[in-house]
Amino acid sequence: MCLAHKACARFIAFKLLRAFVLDQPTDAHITALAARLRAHDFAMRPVMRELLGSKLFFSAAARHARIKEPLELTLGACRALGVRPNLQAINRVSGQLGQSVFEPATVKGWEGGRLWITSASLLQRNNFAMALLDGQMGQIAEPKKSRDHYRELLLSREVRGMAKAKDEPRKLVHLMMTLPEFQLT
Amino acid sequence: MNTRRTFLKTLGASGLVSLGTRPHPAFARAADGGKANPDGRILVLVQLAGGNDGLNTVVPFEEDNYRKLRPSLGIGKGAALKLEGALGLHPQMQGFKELFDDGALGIVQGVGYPNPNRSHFRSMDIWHTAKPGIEDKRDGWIGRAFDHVRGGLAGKVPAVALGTDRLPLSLVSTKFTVPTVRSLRDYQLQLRGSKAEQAAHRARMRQLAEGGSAGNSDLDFLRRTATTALDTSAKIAEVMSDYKPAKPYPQNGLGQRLKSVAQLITADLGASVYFVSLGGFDTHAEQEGAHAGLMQELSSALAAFHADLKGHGLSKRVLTATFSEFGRRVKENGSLGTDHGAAGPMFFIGDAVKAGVHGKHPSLTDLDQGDLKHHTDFRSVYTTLLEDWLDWPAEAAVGGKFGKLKVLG
Repeated sequence: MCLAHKACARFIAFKLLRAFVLDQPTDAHITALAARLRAHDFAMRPVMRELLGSKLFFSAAARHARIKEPLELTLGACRALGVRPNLQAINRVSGQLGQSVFEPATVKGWEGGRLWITSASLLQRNNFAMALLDGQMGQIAEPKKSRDHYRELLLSREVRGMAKAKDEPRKLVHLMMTLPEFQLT
Repeated sequence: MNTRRTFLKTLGASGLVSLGTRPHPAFARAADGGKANPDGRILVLVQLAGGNDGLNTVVPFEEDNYRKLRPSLGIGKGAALKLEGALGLHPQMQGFKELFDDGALGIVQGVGYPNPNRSHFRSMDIWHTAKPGIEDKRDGWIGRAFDHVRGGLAGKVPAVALGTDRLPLSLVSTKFTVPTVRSLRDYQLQLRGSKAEQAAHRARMRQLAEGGSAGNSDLDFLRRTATTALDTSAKIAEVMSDYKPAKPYPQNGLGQRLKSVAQLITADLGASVYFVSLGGFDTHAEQEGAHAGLMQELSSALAAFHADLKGHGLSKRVLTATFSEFGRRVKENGSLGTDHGAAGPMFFIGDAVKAGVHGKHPSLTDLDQGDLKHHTDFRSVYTTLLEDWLDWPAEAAVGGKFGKLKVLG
């Protein structure tokens, strides 16, 4: 009944693309994935395998095309810098940023995308970077590696204005984590 | 001068709602595509949590039934601060009395909703969602209003809840993230090092953030928002370090929260709605001292807030409204307190307010199971605040068409 309706496959395809690939999927992306969903009779395992192995997933269009959710931002940064996160501290920050774990503000869940971002939440995202460097999110080793090392871990791309940055490593890491580009994944 | 205050005209026995009023000419838009809220109007909501005893706030001191049903807690004619006719304010509300005399305080009488619910949680939810009929806590009335703002609110801070632990339900939106600012420190960029180092680092961040195109990619959007965030936080840091209130704030919780709101407004944060809360109104026992303290806090804090805004030339742009989930029963209980009731008054403060008492005091003889009956639906108040103040369409936010009140000048 519900599954037979053609909007159903498109709806699920849209949600999957937003969650795993890019914030603004095109109609063509949605149509293609909806067709795969129907072909697999809505079995998620093969669909996900195809999606995460697809050309689209690895394409330039899907890189830096999602705004990080608070948990992606916070836990991702911990992971990149080798911090074993204090989960209570992470949940507190994530909650301030609009994502209390297992407690969405509305039953609709988190809408995501640009709605994570306001001037206030961006400042709090920046302050998280400082708190992380201060060791408030878990023990952290003093950054000592090269610019390219951190660029690869945190940004996975060259960013205008950072190419010749000569800041000391701690400041450099902070600058990278407060770049507009850092909010994208 | 006095015409503003001699407003004890009850506009019909059913209250002061006028159905089908046209928008005030000042709010008519010149043409389509007009920007929402062009002169930066701001609404400040003050929640009185626990159910404020409206009857001892705006006191009908000459009513026989008031004296009879409130033998211990009743406020006498000599003690009440006279408003108009046989109405007075609680003796601790000197600040409100001065606002009233200055033409900056409006009192909307008898506000409530049909089939009043006497549970704090349910009634507060009703006030926050503007949905008395059904239990639907997905979003709040202000949150829904964001969706219909002309010109949109993308990237802006639509509202700020200040000093609350959680985002109040009224500001919950399925589309916008509203920041909960526990204190102004949340709104500051945390940097380390000497002043000069911090300034240099901030300048570096600013330089790396700017320079996107005016396009609509996520990155352009992030660049614009980041630039705004850095500039706004710099302004807030400035007002925090040398903010001089035009008049001192009282050292109470509400006063300090409102001082923060004034600082954010002065820093031009750009939010249209601010929300603060004052708790402790659930006065079931030994009400007198507790309620007096709350009246004092409310009145002194809001009087200071208004004076401060006036000093900064902002009192024309800011309208403050108070609400509570319900009033209290007319008859006092056996513990020198009062129990959960129904209708209550709301206060409006600001230069734009048509000062005076709006609507009749609810009858003390024609009661609904011992509670005051409302004559003004709270959704009429909300519609007035949204449409006549913020110039935001109200129908979807409050779930229908409700007549507006003539409480703005």
